[in-house]
Amino acid sequence: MAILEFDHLTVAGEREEILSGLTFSLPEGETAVMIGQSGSGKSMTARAALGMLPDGLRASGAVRFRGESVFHMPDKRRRTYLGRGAGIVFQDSSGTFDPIRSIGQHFRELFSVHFGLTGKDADMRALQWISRAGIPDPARAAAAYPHELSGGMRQRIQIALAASLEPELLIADEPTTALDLNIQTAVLELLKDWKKETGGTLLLITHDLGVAREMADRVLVMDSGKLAEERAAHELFAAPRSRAARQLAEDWRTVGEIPTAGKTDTSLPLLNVSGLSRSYRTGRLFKKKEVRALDEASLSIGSGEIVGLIGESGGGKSTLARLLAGIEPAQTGTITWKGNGNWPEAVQWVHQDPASSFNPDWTAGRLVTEGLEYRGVKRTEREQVARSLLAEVGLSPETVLQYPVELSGGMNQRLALARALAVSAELVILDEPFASLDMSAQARMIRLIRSLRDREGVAFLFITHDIRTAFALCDNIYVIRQGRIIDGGTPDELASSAHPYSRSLLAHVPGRGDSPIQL
Amino acid sequence: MALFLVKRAAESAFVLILGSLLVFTFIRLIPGDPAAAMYGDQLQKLTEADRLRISENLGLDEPLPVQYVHWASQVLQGNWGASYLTGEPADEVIVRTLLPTAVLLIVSQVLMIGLALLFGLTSALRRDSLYDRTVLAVSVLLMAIPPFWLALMMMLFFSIRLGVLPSSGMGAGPFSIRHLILPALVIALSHAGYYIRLFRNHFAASSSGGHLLALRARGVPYRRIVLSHILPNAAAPLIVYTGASLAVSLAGSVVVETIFSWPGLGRLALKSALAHDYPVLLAIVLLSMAFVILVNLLAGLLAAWIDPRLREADTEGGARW
Repeated sequence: MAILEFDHLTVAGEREEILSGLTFSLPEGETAVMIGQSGSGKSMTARAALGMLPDGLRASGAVRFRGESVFHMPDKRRRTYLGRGAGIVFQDSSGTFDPIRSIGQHFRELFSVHFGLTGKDADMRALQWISRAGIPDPARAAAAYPHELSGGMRQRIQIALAASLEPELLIADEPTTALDLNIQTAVLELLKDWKKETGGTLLLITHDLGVAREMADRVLVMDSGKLAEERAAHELFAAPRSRAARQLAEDWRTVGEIPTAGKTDTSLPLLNVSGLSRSYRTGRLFKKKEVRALDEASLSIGSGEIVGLIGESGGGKSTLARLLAGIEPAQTGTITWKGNGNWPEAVQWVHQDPASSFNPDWTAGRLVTEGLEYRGVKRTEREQVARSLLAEVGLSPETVLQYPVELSGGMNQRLALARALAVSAELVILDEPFASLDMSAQARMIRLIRSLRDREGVAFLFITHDIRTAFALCDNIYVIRQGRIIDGGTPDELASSAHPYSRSLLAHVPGRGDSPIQL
Repeated sequence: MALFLVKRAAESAFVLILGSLLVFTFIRLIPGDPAAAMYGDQLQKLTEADRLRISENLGLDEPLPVQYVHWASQVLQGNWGASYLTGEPADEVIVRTLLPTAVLLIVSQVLMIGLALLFGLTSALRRDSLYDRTVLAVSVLLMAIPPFWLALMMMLFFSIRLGVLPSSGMGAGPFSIRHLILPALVIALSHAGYYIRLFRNHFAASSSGGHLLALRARGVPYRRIVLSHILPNAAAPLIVYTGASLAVSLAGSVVVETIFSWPGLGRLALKSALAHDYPVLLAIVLLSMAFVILVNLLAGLLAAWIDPRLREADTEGGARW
């Protein structure tokens, strides 16, 4: 018997359909994974399942939970359906908590609303659920405010919040996307445990084929608001049929494969870093604490080489990037550029969230050639340069007249790359460039970076927590932890590294199999 | 928290000293002579020598810095000097006006915040509706009307045309509601426009947060979302602004109290300024500054109590795990 049923659901905005004729059903006790590129209608499906479509959209067709139309539930029935019938876990873990309420208060509120449970009983139950989420000190977490927890902890708590209402169906919308890989694994484990213990139904939404492979009984492939393919997981991974599924599989391979060719001559050292250290002071007036963000780091980057720097959040990756870009001085150690001490503007930095590094009132054309403006290059000439640079990073030359808000995350990322190339960068520092991109956009960026290296001989320092993309892209990878570079080598060398930390990073790649998907 | 308090107290003391210095200096720039205020029409009969003697008696012939140190040391001992007008101790003159002003300020603030809460919240919840736009238009109108004109119009209408409310004084005491209505309403209305808009925007911002969608998706009833999430989230910044609004209202009370002959601090301030009654004026200004600083300090503490993130802003970073 199907627990959730979509029956020709069409959701339309002013101009276009967001979902068209979506029809599928979830059998009880199954784990279904919905995959697709961003904008393919995955999140709208989740909202529709809850009967919470945004205002101003028209819907036709039906969504039924155990045969009951979700859109036509009376208010009171809907409030029990939300939470107790279907629970949801959102992607953004910080925006889904009330910032002025403690974690414990979040649980207490739900227990009082749904079970009429208050006082000590509610507190006890909250602590139980927090500890079931694998959080070491539940009492402390219950007293903490959302901003005091790490993203991974918040995400686990979010799952515990949803699970604590004992829903029959759990919908998880990109629950792992913004997290470090090892934390992703923990979150996926938590979802699996929930499934095993309760026998509930799980609808997991993701753009990551690895996650799908790891979790799915059945896969639903979305493409522009339509269901492109729906099949048992092992069948789909063995032979995807639809265009969308094949594209996703290919993108996943690009992101997941280790390049064999393209190894360039790295005899020409571009940048040499030795013994670089940097500490920060934090804390209150009377309790100063020194945090060593970077501890005797040494590495070298050859010209035209793509070098990866991987490690967990807070490991010192961004500090190293700031020092290399010359934004902050090092306290000890030396940075040598082409054999001498001063390194020039040929090192460019592409910010993690490129849109926030742009002046929103400037057109793409002006943004890209800002560096040339300072060099006194004439306007007409700049415009020409902008057009050719945009073409080079795979954007249409007409983009020069558009503003950053009109562009997608991937396009802004390309714009930032073009801006670095405009001043003839020889080394581009990419700081978590893929954090906000879906797998298909990631694959396109990887192809672009490789081709820029091949055509222009630009070297890249690729900073990431995602070991998979680092393997796909880099000639050489350094592993950084707690400010120290603890391991390094080519992807092949690293794959067989004996270092326990490198091994644990590798072990956390979701859906890691010998050959991901046959085409 | 203790460190926070010490820091704020030190800041406050610094502001008070700086403020008293400025006021002490600028008061002397008001054209005119205290002797004129003390002797009124008799002034013409005084000789130049008499005037100098009066100045000397008041200590006004000494250099300004010396006068300041003298005055400040007296104040620190609790002696605010005697009023030039009546010869009474300045603090006694002021204390008499405190109760009327306090009643007027409290009533007008309660009215104003009540209006801002009511219309701010209701229009934020119905964003861009006809109701929202009407409230917005009326708020702008209220912001544009000068308080003195509003006072005169209300007086004209309620006291003269309808004859239902008294136009001046405070009757038997500060608690005569009939006398209180007009001045309190004028102060409240003349600031309400700004605060309705402010409250509306804060409520609107706090009611579009992603966590509200999450709460709804977890089955929390709408009423509860408004009362225990939207309101408290907007409260912290609004309390801070309300603290600041008390200063504005206090300043506004000078005009309103004068028009309605309300025997409060504001009217006394104007009277002493016109009469060059330096001790009283200085005491009023200093007292008002201390009051405003205290209220803002309390508002800051209250806001930090509501919003945990504000507690950390003052201690750089704080604990994270």
